[in-house]
Amino acid sequence: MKLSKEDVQKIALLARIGIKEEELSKYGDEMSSILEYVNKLQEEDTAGISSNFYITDLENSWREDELKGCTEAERELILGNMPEKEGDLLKIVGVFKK
Amino acid sequence: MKLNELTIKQAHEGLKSKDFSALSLVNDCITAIEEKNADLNAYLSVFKESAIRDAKRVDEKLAQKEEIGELEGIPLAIKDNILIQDTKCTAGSKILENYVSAYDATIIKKLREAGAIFLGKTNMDEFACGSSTESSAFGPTKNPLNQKKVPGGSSGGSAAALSADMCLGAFGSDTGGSVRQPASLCGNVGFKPSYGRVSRYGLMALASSFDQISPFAKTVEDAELLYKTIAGKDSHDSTTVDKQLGLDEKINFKKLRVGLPKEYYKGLGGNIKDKIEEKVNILKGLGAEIKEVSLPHTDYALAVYYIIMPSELSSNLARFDGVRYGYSAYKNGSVKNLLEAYMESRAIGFGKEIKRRTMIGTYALSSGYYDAYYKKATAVRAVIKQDFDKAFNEVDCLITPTSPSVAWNLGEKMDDPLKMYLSDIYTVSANVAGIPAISIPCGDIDGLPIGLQVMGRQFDENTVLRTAKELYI
Repeated sequence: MKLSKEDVQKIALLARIGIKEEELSKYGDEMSSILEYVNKLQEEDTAGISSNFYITDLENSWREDELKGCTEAERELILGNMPEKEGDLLKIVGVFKK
Repeated sequence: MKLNELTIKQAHEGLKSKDFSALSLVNDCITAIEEKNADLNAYLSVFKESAIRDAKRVDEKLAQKEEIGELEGIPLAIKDNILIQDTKCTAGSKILENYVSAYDATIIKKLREAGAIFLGKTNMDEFACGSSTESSAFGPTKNPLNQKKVPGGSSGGSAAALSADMCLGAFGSDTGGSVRQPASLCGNVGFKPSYGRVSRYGLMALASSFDQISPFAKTVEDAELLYKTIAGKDSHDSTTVDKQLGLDEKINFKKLRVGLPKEYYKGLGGNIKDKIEEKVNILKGLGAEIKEVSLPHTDYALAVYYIIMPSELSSNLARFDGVRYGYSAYKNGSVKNLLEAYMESRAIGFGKEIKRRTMIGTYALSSGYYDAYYKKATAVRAVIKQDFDKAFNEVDCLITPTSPSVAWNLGEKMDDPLKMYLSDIYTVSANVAGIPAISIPCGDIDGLPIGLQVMGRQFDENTVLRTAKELYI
């Protein structure tokens, strides 16, 4: 199976990555060759094998849902990483239209 | 001998008996960095000031005749996807070019408590996606043994820094071989513990069901010391296990059963095969039983990895949206709405390999393809794990090559992603099955090192380390 330009465009939108028109076919070719390689798994009969598999025997890990807070230094560093803010508030582009 | 050329063990002895100071040890490393890093690009940032300050603190302790721990005053390099509070952490990506860590990773906390000194952060493939350290947004790292060659990846900066004596030990993350493979290509020891042994809190996630922080060292003994220091249950990483490390047991080589999985030797170059055979004969000489075993689904391990890894990556990297941190297209005022802000921030912030893998992962998880790709891959992963379980009923450890080739030329595989992926063929299985594996140097071809890999049962690091130590210092 070969991914078309339209396929790549659709996947890029789902992945929230802007891809330039002129790059679509190159990504399509590269991804198709990777998918062709990984498709060899279809040869293996996995009927009866649970796909709900994890490599260690983990059990649920519980803790109280409580506020832990952070140090003042951590707070400053987190605020410092924000691309745009007003005071100590994070400023982002509107989610809903006015 | 310059101090930066010492092993951790030797440096510790020297510090303890006051043959030299911690400051001169750090200074020798910094001199090496200043001489070589411009060519090699192994370090992305160097903490000269804090390293000197920390070294002086250790020297004061020594002057007061206080006891020092085995890692106290030892200068280390840290891969740039592990957080050290109040220092830059880029993960080799433009999207995090100016990101500053808000807290210490658990392993950093433990290393600090042990008195280790951090020299700086090392170069890597962007978000640890690559096998050559060429996909870093900050330029490739070169192999110190031959600067026309790659150092391997994705932790190539740490491997090169150690190989060029710009530190005494280093840390990386191993998701599909990202520590063992560069260790092999740069002539170091690289040790990936079992999944669950080391906390990933403060490690930027690539693929959470595979990721494992792992040490690089000059000797197996040093690697073991680094591992012991960072291992253990952590409430911040619920996948960590509360199990005894069991590292002190001696093994009787007369009772050791060593397996050579035939699938790993099929099509392997004669030179590499011969060198590994020489080492296997050492174990034979000690009385170990050597036998051929089969891991019939080996051929599928890489395919399983290249479905599950990008799937987990696409989910983990969703946090890089230009909103709370990292490069933001919105900040530049060039976008009209939130969707455009996401698309544009990621278009500019991510490199090609990340875009490719994120899209593959998104596709494998998307409606209509999930069963055929992701679900299928997790089922085959269970089958591969069963192969290992069966093999470990017959033998106590497995010996294989680490990499199908020695270091290749810079640029050689950059145009063909699949060809690059195939260089992980012998290392991914240990991550797929969650078992411990080490790479140790095993001779060379024209001056380029070959790596030998020892894999063991899940949580049986002891057999892996004892066997490796018998074959290498």
